[in-house]
Amino acid sequence: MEHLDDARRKAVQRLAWLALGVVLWGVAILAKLVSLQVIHHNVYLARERRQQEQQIEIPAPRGTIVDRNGEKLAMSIPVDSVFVDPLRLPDVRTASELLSQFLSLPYDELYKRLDTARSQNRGFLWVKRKITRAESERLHALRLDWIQFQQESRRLYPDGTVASHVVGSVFGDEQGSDGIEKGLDKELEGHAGTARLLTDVKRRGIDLVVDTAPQAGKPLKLTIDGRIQFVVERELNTAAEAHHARTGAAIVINPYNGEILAMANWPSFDPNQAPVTREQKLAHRDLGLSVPFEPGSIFKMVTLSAALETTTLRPDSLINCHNGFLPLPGRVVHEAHRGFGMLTVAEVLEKSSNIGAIEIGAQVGPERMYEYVQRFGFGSRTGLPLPAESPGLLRKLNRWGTTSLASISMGQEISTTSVQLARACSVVANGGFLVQPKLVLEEGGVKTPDVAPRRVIQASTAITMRHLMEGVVLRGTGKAAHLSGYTSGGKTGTAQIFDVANHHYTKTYNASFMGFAPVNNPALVIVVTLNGTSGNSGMGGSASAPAFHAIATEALRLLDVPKDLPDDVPLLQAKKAKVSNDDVSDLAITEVADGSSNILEEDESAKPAADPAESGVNLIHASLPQGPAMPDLRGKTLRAALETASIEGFTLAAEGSGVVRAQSPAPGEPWRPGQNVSVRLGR
Amino acid sequence: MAQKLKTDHILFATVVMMVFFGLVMVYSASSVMADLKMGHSYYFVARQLFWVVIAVGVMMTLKMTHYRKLQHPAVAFPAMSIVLMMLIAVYVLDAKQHRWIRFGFIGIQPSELAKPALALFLAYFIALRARAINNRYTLLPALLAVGLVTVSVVVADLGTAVVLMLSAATVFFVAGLDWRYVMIAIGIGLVGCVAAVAAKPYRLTRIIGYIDPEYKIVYRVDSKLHTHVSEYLKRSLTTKDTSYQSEQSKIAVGAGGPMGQGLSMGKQKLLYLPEAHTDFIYAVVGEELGLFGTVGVLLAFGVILWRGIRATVLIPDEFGRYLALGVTTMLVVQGLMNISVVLGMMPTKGIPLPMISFGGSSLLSTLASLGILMNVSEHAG
Repeated sequence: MEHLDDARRKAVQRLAWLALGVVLWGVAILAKLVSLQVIHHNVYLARERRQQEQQIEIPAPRGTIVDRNGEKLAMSIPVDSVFVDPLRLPDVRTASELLSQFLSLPYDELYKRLDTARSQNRGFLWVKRKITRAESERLHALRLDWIQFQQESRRLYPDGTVASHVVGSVFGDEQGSDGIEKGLDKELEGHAGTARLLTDVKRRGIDLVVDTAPQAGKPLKLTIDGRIQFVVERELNTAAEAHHARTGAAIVINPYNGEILAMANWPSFDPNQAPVTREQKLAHRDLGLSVPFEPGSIFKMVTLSAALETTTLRPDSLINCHNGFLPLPGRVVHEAHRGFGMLTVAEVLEKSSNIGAIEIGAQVGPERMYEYVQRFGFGSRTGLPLPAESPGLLRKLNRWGTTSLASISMGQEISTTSVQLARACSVVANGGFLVQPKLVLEEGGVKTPDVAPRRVIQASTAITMRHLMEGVVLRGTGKAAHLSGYTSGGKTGTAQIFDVANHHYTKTYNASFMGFAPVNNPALVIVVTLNGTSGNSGMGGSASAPAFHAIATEALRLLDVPKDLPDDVPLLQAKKAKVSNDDVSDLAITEVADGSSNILEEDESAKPAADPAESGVNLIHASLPQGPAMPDLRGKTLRAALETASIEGFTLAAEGSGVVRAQSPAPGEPWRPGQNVSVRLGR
Repeated sequence: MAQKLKTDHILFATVVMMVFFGLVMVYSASSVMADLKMGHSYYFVARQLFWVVIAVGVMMTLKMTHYRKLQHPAVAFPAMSIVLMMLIAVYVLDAKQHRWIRFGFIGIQPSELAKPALALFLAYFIALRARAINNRYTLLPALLAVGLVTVSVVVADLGTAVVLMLSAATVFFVAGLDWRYVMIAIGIGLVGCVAAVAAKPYRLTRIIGYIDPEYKIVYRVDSKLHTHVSEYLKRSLTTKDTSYQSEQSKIAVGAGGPMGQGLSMGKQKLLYLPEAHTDFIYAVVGEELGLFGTVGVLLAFGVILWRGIRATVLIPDEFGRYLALGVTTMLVVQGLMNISVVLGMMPTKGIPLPMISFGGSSLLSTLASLGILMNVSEHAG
């Protein structure tokens, strides 16, 4: 037994050594486990993620754009894109043949792409993106597991060309390329979400973990009224084609809050189609906003407003128009057709006398002229959320030349955009406030804040200007803008286009008209500009004013603006279509001040004719049904004016002190009981 | 003999828990792959369950069979002979891998069955010749038997051969083998290693890849001696990506972290990790259950080691002692080797993790061995 015990003790001893070895082995394993799972855990976790997870983007749906009535102007719809894993294709030739047929792609090119991807060991290749619904359905019907689909979204513009320049378009992965789509791209695009796609070793997706959910882009509600926009585009198209214009722009704006109801350019484009040709690409430009032009006679509105505020000139003050011939240092200014002797200030605007405007401008003086041009918002951007807005050109006062004041008085040496003109005209229309044009009504369901309008001219000046501009429509160059059932005011402008390359004015025009209606409480300001017209019929009064007429008639009806004239005015109807040669006289004729030659750029084809307008307009007023006529308050003290108001039954809004100098409505005009009558008092 | 024996509850509970845990892990590790390859996710776990029923039956039978009934030439010799015959037959029947003998849908790996058979035979033989353990008439037949089994296993299944040799060596060492013979055994072992490496060159790449993963030493040797070892290694690497499995299993275990990613939440088994439900199931345990799971499994093998050594020391007879020692060594060595391979501490070997990995033969052989160990443990008091 001793031997046995000895053997046993030896065995246990050896066993103990071996057991110790095994335990040490276990401890080594434990140490390794702690090293892997605790100390270097993050390293391995990162490696695991890297090889198993594909970071993918979940595209956020782009915000919808609707007009003020909720009609969709731009929306994103889900579409399929096709991709394959080139390494998993059963056969590249068969695959190329099949896909090229089903997706109408060129076979050779597709084969090359697939083959290249395969040879480069790439596991992913877009075959065709954003395929049509029909293509998608036919491909799905094949039920081939190597054809894979990814849902993307395609931007759709249901109304096609309507409001295309405002809404704009997108390219590529729904990135804004122009219009609101670009200007508010950040707001519209939202934030793409991120997800991790867990894949197995063959890169097949197993599970999707969403880290951050996609945030949809903000929907936008525009101030645009799709109905008015449609009318504007239709009429702009008609006018541009009828007058062989190269381009055209029109804008309809609410003068009180600056909301743009319609804004159009011609030629237009279909945002659903990517532009291919040069013409199509050029059509994407928002000319009314990004391409400034010399406004011409339209600008006399600013000259006269400045004069009313800063000089003693009144509408009936007389201006010497030098019989149509005014020498200035380095150049001679002519009227377009016939010279005028003495004109009242009102007549200067009605007949669009260049020399008259220069004389008035001279009384204002350069400093105050410069200030008023700025007050009306020229030389600075309107701040619309659209790309490439031009501030126009307004030279600094210290860079004005000897004749700059004269030029600017009649709308030369300055360039403006249509939007700037609409804003300036709104100042007169809304009683003296510079408003901030507005294009976005609601952003993400939240009303966009209004920028408080800034008073830039006195109310009385604005009211006087309204009536002076009504005179343009009634008696002057803008007769074609006379509306049925509504009073209207406006100003024509025909600026010769300056050929920058050859440094002279060409015989093609920028024919424009800006106006408002109704005169006493304007609901709309409309600016129409046609670029590249020529001849008599291509002038502001004959080309653009009729477009104003058509647009205003439809827009006022659509907006349910109460009529302020009886509908049936046969004489006016008869006159409307007729274009008098008086229109022509708004042409701002000038010669470049290079001192070498002073050629009179006169339109020879225009034949001076008797103007039946004067008597015609009187007839209109004579034929008006005799409602209560507005009493003449001018010259009365405030107390006396208030007495009259209480007797007659209208309310009086007075400004200033002294005796009544101006009133609106004018004396003798019809008025409605309870109507607001504004008067300006002065000493 | 007739008295009611007290079951080794610790060992029994551990084994039952491990087998159940194994079923869960096999399902977790294989379901996705089974779904992809076989069409339904329960394919592997259902087969495993079938084997669990059989293997637990065998285990319970052996647990209730007195171990001394096994101490009989009519048990030891036929067991050894049948296994040897099967090992030779498998060369013909499984021409490719030399691993499987198939009966219908049931496949049997003779190399797995060799483990309990060899343990039984050695225990019987050493108990018979205990007094003359260092006698050449003891050693030569024993060496012949161990050599025959090992050689017939080694070509197809190097890992199992290593387990068999280590276990046999342990039993002889504890039985009182002279240091002289111990040295000879170590010598034979080294020669065997060199032979194994020489037989399949990729094994050299594996070993060098383990010692010198970035080939710093290899490059230095190349530049000094103007040899082209690195190129040779790289060429063999591109044909057989040896470090891939080991890298993927380390990533799985490391990514699991202290708490794990949650049962069935592991991602590495999604075909990144080859053999996730068999040889590398420990990596899935590590990824899904974290340090708790990995240390838990390690402790389970610690319990088996403890109960095995306890039985070895306390059992009065020599047969029982070497039987307990043999099966314990085989189970624990195989377990630790598997874990070491998974953790990248040893070159890759194709051996399953006892009780947990998918595989019927392994489960059968493991639970049979544990049934025997339980009975010995009961008799050890």
